[in-house]
Amino acid sequence: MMSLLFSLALFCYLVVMGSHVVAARLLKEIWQAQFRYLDWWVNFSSLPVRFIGLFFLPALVYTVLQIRLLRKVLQSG
Amino acid sequence: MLESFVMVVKKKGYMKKVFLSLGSLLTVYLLLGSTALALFLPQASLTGMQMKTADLRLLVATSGGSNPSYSSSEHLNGAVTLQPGMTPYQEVFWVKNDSSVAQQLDVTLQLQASGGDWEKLKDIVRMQLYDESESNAGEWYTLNEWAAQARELPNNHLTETQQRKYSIFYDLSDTYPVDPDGDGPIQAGDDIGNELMGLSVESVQLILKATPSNL
Repeated sequence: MMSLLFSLALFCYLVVMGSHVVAARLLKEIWQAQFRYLDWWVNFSSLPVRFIGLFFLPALVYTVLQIRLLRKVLQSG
Repeated sequence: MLESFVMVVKKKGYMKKVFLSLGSLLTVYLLLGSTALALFLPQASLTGMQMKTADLRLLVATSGGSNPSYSSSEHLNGAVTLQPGMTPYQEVFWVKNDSSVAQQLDVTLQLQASGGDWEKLKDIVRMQLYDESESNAGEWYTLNEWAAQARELPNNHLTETQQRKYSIFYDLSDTYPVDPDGDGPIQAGDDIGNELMGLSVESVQLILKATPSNL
């Protein structure tokens, strides 16, 4: 149950994180829209260590968690 | 009967779990792909562009449609986003021989710029001129080639009071270098993604020059 809740929380975190980075890059950098709200996200995504540590690695953890959950479900079926 | 109903419900719950799990994984991978694309897609821009005439007999217009509003200096939009493989940006301008005497002018164009990331983009960003009236396209030249010497506009002869509509195309070369500053891909201090990300050439001036020629 705990791993399911953790997995759900991690999924929400990744969706929020990923969508903001994509929006920040596309709107601010490419279309040069003036959204001050996205300034922090542009700075965030320009630092490789921060970005990899806070987005790519959690995505990897989420993949492992989901595969384990999926295996459990398949075994129970 | 009841047993088979319980089996169906159980099976439905089981399938739901499997699909939810696969769906969430797919969503995360789509987001990963999108962020990677947004981060690594190289893009550059041309800003602060002006078209000027270096001859009193020559006028230029960048707006006005069928009734262009001519002056000796006009603002161009430039290109906000240049990406490899993207359809080139296009904007139109008109050139007019404003001399009152019977004189033909041969028009050339030369570029002046040094602002922003000129050094990194001068050999990557390209421009082409196109004569709208006779569908005559000029050659593609890099910004550096346009700056090195004045180049003739396609169909560049203008008799007195004659005007002609041109298009100018901007494009990012498909053969862009992955590492323009030559220090190896992604070093400390480089931005994440392609090093062309967010580069810009600023204060670009396109100078139109006229040379009188015999009719």
